[in-house]
Amino acid sequence: MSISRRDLLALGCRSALGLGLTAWFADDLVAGDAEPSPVATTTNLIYLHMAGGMSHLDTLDPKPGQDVMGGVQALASKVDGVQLSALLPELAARLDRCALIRSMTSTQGAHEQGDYFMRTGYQMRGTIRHPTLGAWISRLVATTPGNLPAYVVIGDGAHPGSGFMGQAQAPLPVDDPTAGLQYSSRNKNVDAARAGHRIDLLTALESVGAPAATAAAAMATARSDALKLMDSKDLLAFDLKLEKEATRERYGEDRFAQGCLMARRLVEHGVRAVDVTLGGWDTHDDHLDRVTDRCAILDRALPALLDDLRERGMDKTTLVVLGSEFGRTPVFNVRQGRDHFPKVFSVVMSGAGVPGGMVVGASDERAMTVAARQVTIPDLHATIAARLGLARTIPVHSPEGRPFVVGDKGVAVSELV
Amino acid sequence: MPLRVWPVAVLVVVLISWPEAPPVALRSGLDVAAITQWSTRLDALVDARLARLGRAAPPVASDDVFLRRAWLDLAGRGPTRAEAEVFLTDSAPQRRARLIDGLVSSPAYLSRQFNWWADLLRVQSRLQDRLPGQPWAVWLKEQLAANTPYDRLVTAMLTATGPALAPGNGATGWRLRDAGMPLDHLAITMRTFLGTDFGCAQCHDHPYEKWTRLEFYQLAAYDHGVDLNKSTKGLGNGKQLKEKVANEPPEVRNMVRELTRGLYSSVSGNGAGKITLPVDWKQDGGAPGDSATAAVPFGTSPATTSKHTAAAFAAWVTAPDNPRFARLIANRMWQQAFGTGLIEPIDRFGDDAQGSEPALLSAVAELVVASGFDLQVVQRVLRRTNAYGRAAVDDSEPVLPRRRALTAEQVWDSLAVMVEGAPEGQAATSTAATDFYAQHQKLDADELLDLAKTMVDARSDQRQVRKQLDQARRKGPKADIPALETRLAKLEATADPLDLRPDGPGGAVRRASDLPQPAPPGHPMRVLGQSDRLLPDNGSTAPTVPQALLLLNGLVDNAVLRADVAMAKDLDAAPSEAERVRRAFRWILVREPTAAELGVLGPGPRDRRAWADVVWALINHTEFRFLP
Repeated sequence: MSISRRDLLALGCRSALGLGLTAWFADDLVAGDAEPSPVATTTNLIYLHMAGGMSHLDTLDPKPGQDVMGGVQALASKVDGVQLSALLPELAARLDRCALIRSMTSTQGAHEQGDYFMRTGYQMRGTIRHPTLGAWISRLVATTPGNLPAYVVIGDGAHPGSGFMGQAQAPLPVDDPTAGLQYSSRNKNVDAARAGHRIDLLTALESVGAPAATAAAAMATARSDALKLMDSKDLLAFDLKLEKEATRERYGEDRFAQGCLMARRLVEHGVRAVDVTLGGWDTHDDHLDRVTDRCAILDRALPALLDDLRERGMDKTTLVVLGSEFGRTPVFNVRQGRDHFPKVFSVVMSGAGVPGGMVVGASDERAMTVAARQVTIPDLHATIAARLGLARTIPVHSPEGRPFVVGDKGVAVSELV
Repeated sequence: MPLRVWPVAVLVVVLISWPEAPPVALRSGLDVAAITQWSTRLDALVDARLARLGRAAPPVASDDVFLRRAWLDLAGRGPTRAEAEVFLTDSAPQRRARLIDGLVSSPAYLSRQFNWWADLLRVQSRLQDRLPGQPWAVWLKEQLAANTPYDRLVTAMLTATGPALAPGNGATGWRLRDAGMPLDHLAITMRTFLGTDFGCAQCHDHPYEKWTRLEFYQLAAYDHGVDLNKSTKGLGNGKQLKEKVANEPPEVRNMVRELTRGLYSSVSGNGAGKITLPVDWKQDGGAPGDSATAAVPFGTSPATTSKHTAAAFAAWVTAPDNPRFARLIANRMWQQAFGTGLIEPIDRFGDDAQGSEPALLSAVAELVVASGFDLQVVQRVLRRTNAYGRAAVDDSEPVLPRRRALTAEQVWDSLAVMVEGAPEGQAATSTAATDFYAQHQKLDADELLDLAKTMVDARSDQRQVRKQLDQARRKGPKADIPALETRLAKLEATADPLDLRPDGPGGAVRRASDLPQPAPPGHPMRVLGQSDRLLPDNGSTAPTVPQALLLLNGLVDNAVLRADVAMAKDLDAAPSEAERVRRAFRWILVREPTAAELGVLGPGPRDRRAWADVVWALINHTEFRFLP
């Protein structure tokens, strides 16, 4: 296989084969051939994705007294005049450290498209794959060289990844946080001594072989990076057994909860963006039971993460965002369930200087439409980008030469930046 | 299946058959003499270029290099030691040509070509929205086995209509791949078969090529209206089904949805010849709501009968005088053989579509047409050149073989062959999905519901049996395993006729072409860079840390180093330590050890552990990861 377009980008040699691709920029962007250089920033992102479409009414935007509430009550939060669902009491008690957006809106009501839109800030197309927010961060932020990648995704096999940005910004996937990093531990028959002997043998054989070309050298580098990782303290970031049992308990035993704990550890070790996914929110049926169950997991893990970050002094440099691909219908369906509802839904965020206790926008009295201050998904991405210090003036180009910026044409929510 | 448990041996059984490869059929009068003439002509052009560049041709590659290169390139894997011996003991002067011809007629070649096509066409076993993709994969394999000419292959995909699961209708997969997105589909079609970067023009006049948005829509007019049809008219009353199903539990409802997708998805429409310009139209040549008539942006306009324009579009794309159709496949074939295309990027031809060596590309394009679009002939011609047989280089000079990293499939299949011996020909019925369709296409709402319930029960039984099987494999009793596997296989037919799931019986290691397309996220092949099949040519050969970890810690120890695998048995049977070392190098690096390497290894003897370490080292050697 020849140099694929993704490899080309990864190796940074777009003009290697004498191609002079002329860049073309939208009117309001900076013209020129330069791609943005990575910039040193201090803020990290933990994005918690509620997969399936989290019902906004049953969580962040209750309408007490209205028929649309079903069996769920509301309760007062730490913020005067703001109520959350009674299914999230711990989060409600910490709402003064969070900002709430209740006027999110999307046009995508199908899972794949909605998920893609929320993760990348762009509409899904057949002809290109856009990078997710974490890939943008990995691309735009100067990372200190170390053993860990800038971007890790926990618990989501179908994640859109880095799209056209290719391997250079690809997230490291972790399937089950309780199992650590896949393939990072030696086979049980291979102890450290034997592993050392193997490496010695391999090195000796390669040293008497043909001199390595650039491509082979890159492969050898990846291998030595992997070996360094295995022996480094950074690998310990993936080992949850090093946490106190009490801490693990505090988050909860669900994989998502342990994933949140791993996210904190990874950020401590220099990872700049972590996505953690909690599924099961697609409550067309069995709604009350399942949403209660999901909220129980969420209401334990998220507050634990927020407290943990604050206790370690990491809250000022870590932005935690909780989102979903869309909300759910206020009006119940024939099975007492709620269906997909992108017209209005909610997002909550905390940390990194986001003003606590702020509520942006509102839905109408039955949570059926945006009543004030509409925030689109690109607007959300623009807001996060602003909080993280990501440049949006110089576009990054896909291998086909199309220009993209993080957050597309979104406008940052001024109250939050 | 927990992602961390991916021992190679416990993987996927996919019910795909490899029809017996027919004897090499020569077309268009291109006999061996003609093929040789073509190779000579291409060599002359290659040598002329090298002379012009003032670049000395590299020496002829050694036999070992040629052997390994040809096998990986054409068969998609390394040879077994026995397979390698066939070439090495052939003393005829034309043995390299014989090797090439033999490989092109082998089942291994079909497997490798399938991987290449699947990557290009974005083949998935399960398309979006639960549409079945296996019929497409099966159809493609059948075409490859029959050596269907390339132009007819493309025409079939561009014009296929009818039910997705009707026997022989797998070509509908191309259109279904982009169901509901006809404009994106056009952009991808233009790129895949005509090397034309039309995609930008979907929304605005192309920023740096000459295509306008109007031209895009005029081209889209040919296929307008051809798309996925989900009508359940065959059921008599779709509303009735909805009502019946409304009160069923979620598993049954989901199963009904899955069944209706499979049984009733079809491609319908013949092409309207006209298309309405969208409401956001701002470009020249029309206004929002205007009707645009079908027209082509280059080449000769095809004859159309109005309202059946999809066939006209296909005829235009595949015409021998279409300036890009033959040139693009020529470019792709060249890149497959040499590693760098004569035009790069491979499928973005730009305005002039000449590339770095116009005479050479034109000659290969001429060959494509002269062969009747017989790609096996084209591949034989390319690999019988002197150019192909030279030592590799590390730069991207297109007329010299480039030393490039193996694809995920090539690495996987090379390891598979160490485990299984020659792993092709693990035949099983391929017609499960289409048989099911034939049996069940005339159901009414009640029958469909009953069928769904049966399948739901079968799946739940399947889960139970899988658990028991897992238990038996891990803790025993081993004697239970065969009976459980049989039960599982029987249940498979009831539970999963439309889909092919992992964990079937057997546990043999399959080649990449026999696994789900693509392998699931987290599978070793995905870690090795296999395409996610979301875009054409989306595989990656860039090295990554997870890949390195996989080979350092996972795959090799768990699968290849077991004592009962084909390579281990061959090594065990070696009569001496020295011969054993020789055999290990033969299997893995397909060559003899050098004196220096023998020095590093020492004379032995080695115990089993030490042997495992030697094998481990050879597989982790960077040389293993590259085409020589």
